Amino acid sequence: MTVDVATQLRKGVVEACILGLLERDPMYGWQLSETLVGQGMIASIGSLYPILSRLKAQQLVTSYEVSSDAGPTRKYYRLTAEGERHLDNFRQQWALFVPAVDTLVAPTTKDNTHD
Amino acid sequence: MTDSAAMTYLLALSDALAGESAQVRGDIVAGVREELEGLDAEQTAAKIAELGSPAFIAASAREEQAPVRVEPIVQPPEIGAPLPTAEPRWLSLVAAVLVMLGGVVLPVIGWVAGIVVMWTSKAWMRRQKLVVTLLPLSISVIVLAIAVLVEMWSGGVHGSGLEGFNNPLVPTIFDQIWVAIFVALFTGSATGLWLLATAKKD
Repeated sequence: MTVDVATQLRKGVVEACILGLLERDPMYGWQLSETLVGQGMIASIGSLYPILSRLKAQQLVTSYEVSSDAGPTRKYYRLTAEGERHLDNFRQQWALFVPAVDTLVAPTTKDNTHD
Repeated sequence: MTDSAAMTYLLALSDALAGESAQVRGDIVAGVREELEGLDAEQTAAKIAELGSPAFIAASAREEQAPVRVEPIVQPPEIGAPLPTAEPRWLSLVAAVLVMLGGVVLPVIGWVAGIVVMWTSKAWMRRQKLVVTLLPLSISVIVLAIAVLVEMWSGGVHGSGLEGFNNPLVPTIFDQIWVAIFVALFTGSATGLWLLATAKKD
């Protein structure tokens, strides 16, 4: 059941994590994939593109190609203005959500003096 | 590995993603191709090892797109709305009418059919069904029992000199049988009317 909880938690926040990464700098697929896999947020690059596809459909991110003489032409992803608003909203919600959950799931200190 | 190894890997990846949408399949293959372009054999082998097998990547894509399980929310019925029922309303109506008139139209068989239909319906309580089933039979048996007793009595009193004399004021056994049949029909009709009046409407 722990695995299910972790999966559900990841699915709930992974889109916001991608928006957070792209707010710092535009990134291409492999960069995003490496970072997210390294943090345990996605299983592989196969998980990344369906999420990016959803974010594009919601117009939260957009993509553009960058040619290079030194390497392959890469597709970069960056945040849109709507994506920035969405991320700000998530941060506000998250700031309230985390302490609320912490409070609710905090282990109770049982009084054992009567045992 | 060479470029052909990269091509083989990309073809295998494309095949493994055959069940995905064209958009997702194209994005994943294009994204992986970016990483494999311009690499030498050693670099290609290392990158492929890092990427994982095509089957693993395809499974990740499927897992990511799997719908989140949501338990259906059961909406309470609106206030005043009839409760859902598996039984059509006409069933109780047919049962009541058969019990009421079935015995008149088709003696015994019509009434029995009504009783059978009534027992399949949920419009009445078990106790009520028992009353409707047993009351006409009980009354008929009582009437017939009285008729037999009266017949025995009207046969005359020994030693009175009236043996063999039938009192014309006392009904014969055949009259009593007809009375029993009439009472059974009347009771059946009355209980059918009772069923009609008391059937649950929902």
